[in-house]
Amino acid sequence: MSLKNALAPFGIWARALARPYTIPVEDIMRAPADRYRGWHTNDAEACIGCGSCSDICQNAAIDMVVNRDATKGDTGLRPMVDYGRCCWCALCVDVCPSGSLGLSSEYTWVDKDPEVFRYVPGVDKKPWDDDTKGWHGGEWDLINHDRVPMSMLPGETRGQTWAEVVLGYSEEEAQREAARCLECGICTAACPAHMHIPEYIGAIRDGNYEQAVNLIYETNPMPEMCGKVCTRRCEDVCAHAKQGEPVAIRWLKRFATERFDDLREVIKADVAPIGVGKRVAVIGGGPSGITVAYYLAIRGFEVNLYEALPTLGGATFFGIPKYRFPMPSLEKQVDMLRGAGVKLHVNSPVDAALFEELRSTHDAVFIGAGLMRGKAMRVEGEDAPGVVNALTFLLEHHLRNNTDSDKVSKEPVVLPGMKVAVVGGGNTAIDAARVSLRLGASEVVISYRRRKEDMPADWEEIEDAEHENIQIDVQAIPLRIEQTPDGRLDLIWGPAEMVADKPGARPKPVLVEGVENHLVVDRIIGAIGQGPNLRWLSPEAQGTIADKWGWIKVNEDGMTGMPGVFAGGDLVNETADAISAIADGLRVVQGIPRWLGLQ
Amino acid sequence: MNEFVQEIQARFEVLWSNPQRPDLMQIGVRQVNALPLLTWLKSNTGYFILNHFSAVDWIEDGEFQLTYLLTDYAARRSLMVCVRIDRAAPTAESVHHLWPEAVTYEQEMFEMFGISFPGSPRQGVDLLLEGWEDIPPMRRDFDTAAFAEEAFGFRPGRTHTNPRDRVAIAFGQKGFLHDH
Amino acid sequence: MTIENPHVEKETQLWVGPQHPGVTGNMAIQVWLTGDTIQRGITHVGYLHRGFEKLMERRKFIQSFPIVCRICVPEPDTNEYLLAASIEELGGITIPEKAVWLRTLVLEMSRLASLVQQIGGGAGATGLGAVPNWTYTLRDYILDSFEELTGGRVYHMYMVYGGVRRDLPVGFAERMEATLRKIEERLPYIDKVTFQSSVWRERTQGVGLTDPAWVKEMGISGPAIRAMGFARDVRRDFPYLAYPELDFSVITSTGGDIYARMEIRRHEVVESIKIIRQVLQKMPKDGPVAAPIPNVFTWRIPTGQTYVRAEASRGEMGYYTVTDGSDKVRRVHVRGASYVHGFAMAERMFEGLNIADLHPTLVSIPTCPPEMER
Ligand SMILES: Cc1cc2nc3c(=O)[nH]c(=O)nc-3n(C[C@H](O)[C@H](O)[C@H](O)COP(=O)(O)OP(=O)(O)OC[C@H]3O[C@@H](n4cnc5c(N)ncnc54)[C@H](O)[C@@H]3O)c2cc1C
Ligand code: SF4
Ligand code: SF4
Repeated sequence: MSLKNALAPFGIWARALARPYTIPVEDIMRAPADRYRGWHTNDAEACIGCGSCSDICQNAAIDMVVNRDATKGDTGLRPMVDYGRCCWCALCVDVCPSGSLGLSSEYTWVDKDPEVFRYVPGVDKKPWDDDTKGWHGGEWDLINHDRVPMSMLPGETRGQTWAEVVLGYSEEEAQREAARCLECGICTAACPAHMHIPEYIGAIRDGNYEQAVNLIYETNPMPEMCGKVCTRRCEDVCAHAKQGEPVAIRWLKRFATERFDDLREVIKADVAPIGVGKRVAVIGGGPSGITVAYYLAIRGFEVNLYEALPTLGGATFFGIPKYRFPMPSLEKQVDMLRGAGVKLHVNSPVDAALFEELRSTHDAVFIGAGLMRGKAMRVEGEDAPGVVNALTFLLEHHLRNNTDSDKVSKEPVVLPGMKVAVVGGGNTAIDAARVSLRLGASEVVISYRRRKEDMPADWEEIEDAEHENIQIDVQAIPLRIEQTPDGRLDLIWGPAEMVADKPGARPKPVLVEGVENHLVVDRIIGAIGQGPNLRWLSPEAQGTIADKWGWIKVNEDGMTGMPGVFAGGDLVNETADAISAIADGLRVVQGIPRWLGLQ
Repeated sequence: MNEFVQEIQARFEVLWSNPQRPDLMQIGVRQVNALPLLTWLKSNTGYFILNHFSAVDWIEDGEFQLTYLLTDYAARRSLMVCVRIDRAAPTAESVHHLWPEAVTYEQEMFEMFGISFPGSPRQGVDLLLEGWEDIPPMRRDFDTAAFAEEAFGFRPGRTHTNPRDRVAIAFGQKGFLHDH
Repeated sequence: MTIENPHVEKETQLWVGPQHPGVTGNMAIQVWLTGDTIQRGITHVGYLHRGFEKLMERRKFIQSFPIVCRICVPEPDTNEYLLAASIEELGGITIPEKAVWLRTLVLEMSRLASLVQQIGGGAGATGLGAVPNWTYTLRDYILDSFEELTGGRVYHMYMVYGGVRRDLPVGFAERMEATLRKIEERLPYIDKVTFQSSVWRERTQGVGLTDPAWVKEMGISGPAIRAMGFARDVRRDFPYLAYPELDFSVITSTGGDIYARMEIRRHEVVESIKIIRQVLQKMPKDGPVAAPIPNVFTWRIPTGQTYVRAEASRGEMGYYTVTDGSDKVRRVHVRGASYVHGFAMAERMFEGLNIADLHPTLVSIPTCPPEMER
């Protein structure tokens, strides 16, 4: 043992005079680090009540508690945190799709009452509610908000073919996309038919496609149509849409139904035959009529369906072009009606006399006659030859191409090489433009009064049109149409200025006076909306069930002012899309048995 | 690595092999071959260190899997030997004479899975659980959630509403293929 | 130094623990003594069993992070890393370059914090109260860095599948450097009262011996094996993360006693500091800290099994992870270095040990009950 080593420990005596090594308490009472994970905060207005936070918490520290009414896009629930269990991992924050949840950097809170350590962040006010420090969403997300991309025909060439543009997901893609679902069910509120969305998405994810289509058929007898063209309000409110891309609910439904060439053996209904011996007449073979017919038929009703056109489908047949919703898809769904025993009477327009007969021979009548009248543009020169209404244009086109109807001329309105202008900004305008392109038009221009973001058409449809080189002129108000000396048409339009309207309403386009622009084309297609046409009914009947413009009012069972006469679809609702028509149909499926006292 | 599996195969039947990583080979052998193989590995190869030894419950197959992880530190490679045993009468030969730490592993597996290793010194002596009367808790059919609920529970006053249910009720979600 | 006992034939049975005897955690040693010499001893655990492995079988993959970090108080990050790495391997996830470096950083920070703490613990177990005061302070400085990087001081939950949760905060490197300097400045003082002190050497050299022959029999690792002259270190033998690109030495010694094991830690502190400096310097400045992963609520991983290892301050830590195609693990088995050290090896070391040397011996190995019983 050397002396040096023996004395070594005494070396630290040098520290006797140094500043103490321990830390004064003031030094410790520093602010927490910027990302310190302390008590929760929540922006209760931004929170959508999806419950993802509650699901991810492995300590079961979070309850979803009722805080407000459920609305489309908000379950009205808010998370309540039990700090007897929370371990401040912030997984709840990292999965919060709205980005509303956070952990403040505050962590000291002393109270004698243990019960206070359980509160609804953002609702029960706390001093740290506005703390921007701590652990908040946005900086980095555990949840990937990117959708599995959909393959499509290339934009440059697909204008030359009627083939379906969207190619559909492969099985692997569908399962991957389905796996993105957070299963909160918020989407079901926004779906007019309140389809069982998270359930069927879960079944697709697990590869249980039969179960998926059965879940889909619970509320939708035309799912392949909806899977291809639905307005998908569900996707607008999907939790993922808060910070990224919603789950491709529509494409997943499409995937599930396309798995089966014939659904008749797959769909297994199990309902009481309450309608045996009862007869129902359905007027109109659009989505609303098909819904009423199918679900009543499987309940034992004898259903007679009358359709004026040679084919069922309504506007989904004669309006929606085949590159979006092909005929085989539609036929598959009509087959389901046949399988259910619905008696289909096509080429059978109902008139006033037949209507009265149906009323007397059936226990109930449903009117789902849709909007069969294209609205006029109301500009000077509109009746010039070469100016057509989009609805007529599409109807004739589809009858010519997809039926053996002899009621339409063999020659299309739009011929190869023509330049076409379409006036309007809805789905019908886009469809008319893209159909024109496929008929060989050399150039197609859509002319719309407002801005692009105001277009009622589906944003994906707008994009698709643009990829096909369709030009979109916005803030263009049509003034009049003139014929040029060489037999063409001059669409004269003035620029619009956007002026703020009432709060909550879209800004209004106001004409900038004194400027006139010319768009010289061969054809002009007016696509500014559709309206009801009930002139096939007697004036008395019209007066009983409809207002003076032809819109039908119904009660909560879907029944009109005429007992035993029910209605639904575009004629009734304001949303005028296929799924709303189906939802109307479902209301009547409950309404008719109730009215007949069958429950 | 594959040559080594062939070398093993020449002596003991290898049911399957899987090169999980360049430094990790996995093989499956029959229970009768387990002890001979492990003894051979320990005495004749570089794989003489037992890094880890545990069980997996494949309840749906009616089997337990015993997994032995041996490492050759000179070659920087590991070999995972997997052996399936009958779950109904779970008994396996002890390896405590090869590796002293196996005593604890086998003691723990007896306690947690109910797998017995006859001859292993601390079989049946409590390791982690004192006075445990339920089924061995690491078995898949032991319901931890129910146990926790009963043993600890939630503080009073907790209520949870499932968001999906709330939406379904508020918006009157229905199904039309089935009567409700 | 063993005091001769006139009543050798009488054996005393004694329970040491399960109170927390320092940094060894709650476990008990049942010893049979003649005089103050331990004839034999048995390790008893069960005071900390939380059933973590079972809990993980009932949780989605991501939900296990708040669990695994709690397996080890001083070094939660090794557990986070091993869980992440094993699931990523089975689930086919590759992490971005930046995440590789950030993970290396926290792993080495936690090794450093743990090594520093063990030095204090070792000194404390021999009655030197000042050293733990210093080292716990130093550890707290490291925890400050953890706090600003990860948002948590003790349990960090910094890693997730695909990478890590946050990038370095602005100015982190400078503040980390200041902490590293503080540790370096403190080391000479620690040396003076321990490694250079002949009293302390007397107390620790030739005490708590391990036998190199055991290495052929048992999975000994970490300072315990390096103190017997074996340069075994997972960071070298089975390189992972950014370790292949880092310059560091594997420290060995030959004494196989308390002193040798503590001395290794003392030098590893220096190596660890060296590594942290390199990591902060070489780490890519930009790039994502995490790769996108499947939806954590619904992620399913095909059937598979793997064993992933890393070098913790106590030695080799490994995760045996089994997946079965569902959204939860079928089995996770956590293999901590102490599982071998605390039972099979320690029980051999107890034989002939003076009762007063029991704690210094345990701390020097060291044994960590939370990883022994999970
Ligand atoms: C061009 C175009 C594109 C569209 N794109 C989409 C879209 O992408 N997504 C979407 O969700 N919706 C779209 N819609 C709207 C959707 O097609 C309609 O909302 C839906 O079809 C309305 O269904 P319905 O049952 O009310 O009536 P309709 O589908 O309009 O069907 C009414 C049926 O009744 C028949 N009928 C009318 N009078 C009689 C009578 N007296 N006797 C017998 N039969 C009669 C008609 O021939 C017609 O077949 C589009 C509509 C159009 C016109
Ligand atoms: S995850 Fe976010 S949006 Fe969803 S309920 Fe929780 S706090 Fe609200
Ligand atoms: S921080 Fe972690 S433990 Fe706490 S409520 Fe959120 S998920 Fe649960």
